[in-house]
Amino acid sequence: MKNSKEMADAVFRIRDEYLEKKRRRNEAVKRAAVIGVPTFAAFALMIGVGAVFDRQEIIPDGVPEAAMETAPVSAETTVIETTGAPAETNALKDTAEKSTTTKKETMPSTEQVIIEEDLPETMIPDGQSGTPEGIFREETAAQTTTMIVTAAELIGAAPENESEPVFQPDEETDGLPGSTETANAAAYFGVDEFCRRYPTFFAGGEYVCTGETVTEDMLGSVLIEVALDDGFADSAVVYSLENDRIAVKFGRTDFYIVYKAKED
Amino acid sequence: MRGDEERYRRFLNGDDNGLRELIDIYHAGLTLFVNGIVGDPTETEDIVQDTFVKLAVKKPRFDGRCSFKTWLYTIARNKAYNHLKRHRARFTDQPIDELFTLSDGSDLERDYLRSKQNIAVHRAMRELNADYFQVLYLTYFEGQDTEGAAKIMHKTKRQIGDLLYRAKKSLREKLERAGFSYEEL
Repeated sequence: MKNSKEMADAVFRIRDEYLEKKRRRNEAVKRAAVIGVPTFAAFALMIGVGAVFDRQEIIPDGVPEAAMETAPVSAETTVIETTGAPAETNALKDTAEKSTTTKKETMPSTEQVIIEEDLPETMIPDGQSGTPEGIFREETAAQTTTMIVTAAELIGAAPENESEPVFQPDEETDGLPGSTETANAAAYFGVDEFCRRYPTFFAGGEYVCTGETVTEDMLGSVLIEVALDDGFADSAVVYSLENDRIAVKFGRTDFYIVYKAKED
Repeated sequence: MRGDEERYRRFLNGDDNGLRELIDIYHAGLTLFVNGIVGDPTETEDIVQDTFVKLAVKKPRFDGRCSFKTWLYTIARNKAYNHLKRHRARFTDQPIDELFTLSDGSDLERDYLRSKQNIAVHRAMRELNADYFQVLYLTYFEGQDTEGAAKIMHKTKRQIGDLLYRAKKSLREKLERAGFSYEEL
C-alpha cells in the first residue's frame, strides 16, 4: 500500500492533471467562441439579409410584374415637362379636349412602362394600332424625359374650339408626303385614321413642325404619342436623325417630322 | 481539532502543504476505517485517495458544524458505500498480516494501532458486520463521541447507542472465542 507521502504525491498529481485538462478545455471553448461567434454572426446576417431580399421580392396582388420592375419610373412618377404655354402643362388632363403629343426621352437601359390605367383616358390604345393591351412599353438606351406638347403646337395646325373638323383635304395633293396639309390632317385625325382615309400615306409621310430644334438626344429617345378627341391614339419613337428631320414610326407606318424654325 | 481546519484553510488559500499534512495525519486511520467497510486493501487505497483528491480538486466548503475529522470520515464513508454500490464487496485471500504493509515496509495497522491488544481487537472487529465495525472503530480507535459517530454513519445518537451495545456484545463473543478476556481489553 502507499504510504502517506506517496498518497499525497498521487493526490496532487491527479489534481494537476485535472487542472491542466480543465485549462485546455477552457482554452478550446474560448477558441471555439472566438471563431464560432463571428462565423455564426456572419451566417445569421446572411440569412437575415437573404430573408429581407426575399421579402422585398413579393409582388402585391393585382400589380403587374412589369410595373414592379419599373416602379420608380412609372407613369405616375415620370417627370413631365411641357413645352408651350403654361396652360398646356396639364395636357394629360386636358387631352379629352385636344389632341396631344407626348415626347419621352428614356435613359439607357431603362425600361419605360406606361400602364393603361395610369394613362389619361384619351391615351388608351384604340386596338387598331397594335399597341399592347393598356401598356405601352419601350426599352431604349437614353435618358427618360417626357415632353408633352400638343399636336397643334407641334404641327401648328390643330384648330381650337371647333366641333367640326376644319381640315379639308386638298384634292390635288391628297396627302402627299411632305405636305403641310398632310401633317395637319394626320395631327387632326390621328395617324391610323389618317392612314385609313389617305392610303397613299402608308408609304410614309413627312410632318412639318415648327418651334423645335432637332438634337441628337432625340435619337432613339423621343417618344411621340398622338391622341385625338375621338379616341384615336398612337405612339412613335424617333429612330433616325437627318439634319433637321427625324424619322418616326407611328404604329406600323414610318413618318418623318421636319422641324423648322418657328416663324414669328 | 482546530489545527485541521486551519490546515485545510491554508490549502484553500493555496498552500498545498496544508493538504499534505492532513493526508499524513488521516491516511492510516481512514485506510483502516474504509477497509472495514469494503474489505479490500487495494480498493480501500483507491477510496482513501479519492477522498483526498476530492478535497484537492473540488475543494468542498467545510462549514464547521462538526469537527474536521468527522467531516473527513463522512466523506470517506460515503465514497466507500458508493463504491460498494457499484462493486460487490470483495474480501481478499491475502494473509491478514500482509494487508496493511506499506510500500516503505512499515505496517499501517501496527503503526496506527500501536499495541498488540489494539491490533487483536481490530482484527476481531474485521469479522463483525460493517456497522458494528464502524461504530466500534470510530468510538474506540478514532475517539469519536456518539454525536460524531452518528453523523459519520448517518444515524441518530440513539441508533448509535444501540448499535454500539450490540457491537460490543458481538465483539466479546469473538474475542472470547479467540482466547481473549473481554474485560481485559
